Amino acid sequence: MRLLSVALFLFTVSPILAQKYITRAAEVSFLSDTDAIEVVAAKNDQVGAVIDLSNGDLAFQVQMRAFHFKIALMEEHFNENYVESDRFPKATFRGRFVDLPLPNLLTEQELSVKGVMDMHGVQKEMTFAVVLSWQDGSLQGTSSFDLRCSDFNIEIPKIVSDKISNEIQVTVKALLTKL
Amino acid sequence: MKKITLLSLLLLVNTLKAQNELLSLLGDQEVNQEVYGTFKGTKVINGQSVEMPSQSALFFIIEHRFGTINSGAYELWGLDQASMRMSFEYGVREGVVLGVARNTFQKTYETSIKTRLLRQKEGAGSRVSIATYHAAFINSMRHIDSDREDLFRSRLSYVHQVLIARKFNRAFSLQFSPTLIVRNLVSLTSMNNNYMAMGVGARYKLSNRVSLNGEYFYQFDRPYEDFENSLSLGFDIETGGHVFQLHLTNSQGMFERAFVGETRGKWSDGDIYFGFNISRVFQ
Repeated sequence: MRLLSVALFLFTVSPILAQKYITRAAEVSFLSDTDAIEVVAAKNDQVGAVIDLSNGDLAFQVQMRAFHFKIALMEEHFNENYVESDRFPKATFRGRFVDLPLPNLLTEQELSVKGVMDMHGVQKEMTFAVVLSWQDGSLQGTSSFDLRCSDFNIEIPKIVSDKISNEIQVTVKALLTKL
Repeated sequence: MKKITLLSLLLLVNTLKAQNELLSLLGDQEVNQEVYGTFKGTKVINGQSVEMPSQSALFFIIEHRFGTINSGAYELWGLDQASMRMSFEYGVREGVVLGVARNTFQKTYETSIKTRLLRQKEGAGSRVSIATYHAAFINSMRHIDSDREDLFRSRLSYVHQVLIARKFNRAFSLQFSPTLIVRNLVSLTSMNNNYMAMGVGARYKLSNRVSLNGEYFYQFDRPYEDFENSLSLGFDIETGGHVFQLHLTNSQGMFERAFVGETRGKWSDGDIYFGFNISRVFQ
């Protein structure tokens, strides 16, 4: 019973003890295989990110409409035909650092993050490396990883399959300040 | 044991709850809510749509209309006779597009300007997209009528349109195009120099890359009784930088003066022209 009350206590007070760092201007960019004829590249600098240092939880929220391409028509096709942003307006990632407690971040640390990516109506468990460090009192995190369109039901029609690669390189850059 | 299970369950719930709470901290971020892709092409079929190239994008469009399908096997059901329109459309800045075109029909040159006045937005904001389209047509046929002086102004005709479109949902878009045609010279004294028409265009998406399109232009004061209203049906097929439009229409002309007011084909008689538009984007 005591155990249960401790748990209940933790359950209710943990948000208060939390050390949350947040940004609404993280950057996510992606690039399709450069071997392909048409390089598809886009950047979104309106990504929301939160990291809770007290328990190692983190969450990202990506508005698909905020990805900008050099070519306007590509942006339209991205939204209309590929990610279908009218149906699935945002992608999210909810996860946690694998090695807890977090090491002190006086020097740059490469850490593993595990969680669930939710995009285009598909949820997929993913693990990737994140480099975390302090930058003048702000928390800086960067990461890059590959996504496969086919994992998220994003169909690339045969007629353009030699132009658009299934593998997408994603780069994330976030500078989070204390909430 | 039971307590431990309960505890671990509670912790798991706590983790998920915490991560969801983290997400909710971010709230709903504002993003660009402008509606995209009301139509796939800058033309619905013959008539202009509210779509246009973005800033510094260049569209090259080739259009073909073959002869009438009822012309029989000798003409290979119209394929022997082709009429063409080539055009360049360039986005000088966002929402302002200049165009030039050349038509086989009466060796007509065109210059045009399309401007966006309003863009439909999701949520709060405009419920429709509005654009205007103005074009001047220059007939460049050799002057053969010796009774009449060869005046440049007599070779000119114009179109002025307001294009009002709404994308109702991901599949269905509808456009109204009030149209004024001005002809400096008409062939009969009984013909009007100016006349009004109302265009209605629609598209229904069958899949992410294919849509069904329809278009009709109703003439309010028909300049000449022999002329029909233009009715066209077709498909848009989109493949990356290209849009292919395949259609059947009773108009062989591909510019407004020709198809709005000078359509001769009757659907009921099988005077139907098969045609296609191909657009390519350069940027």
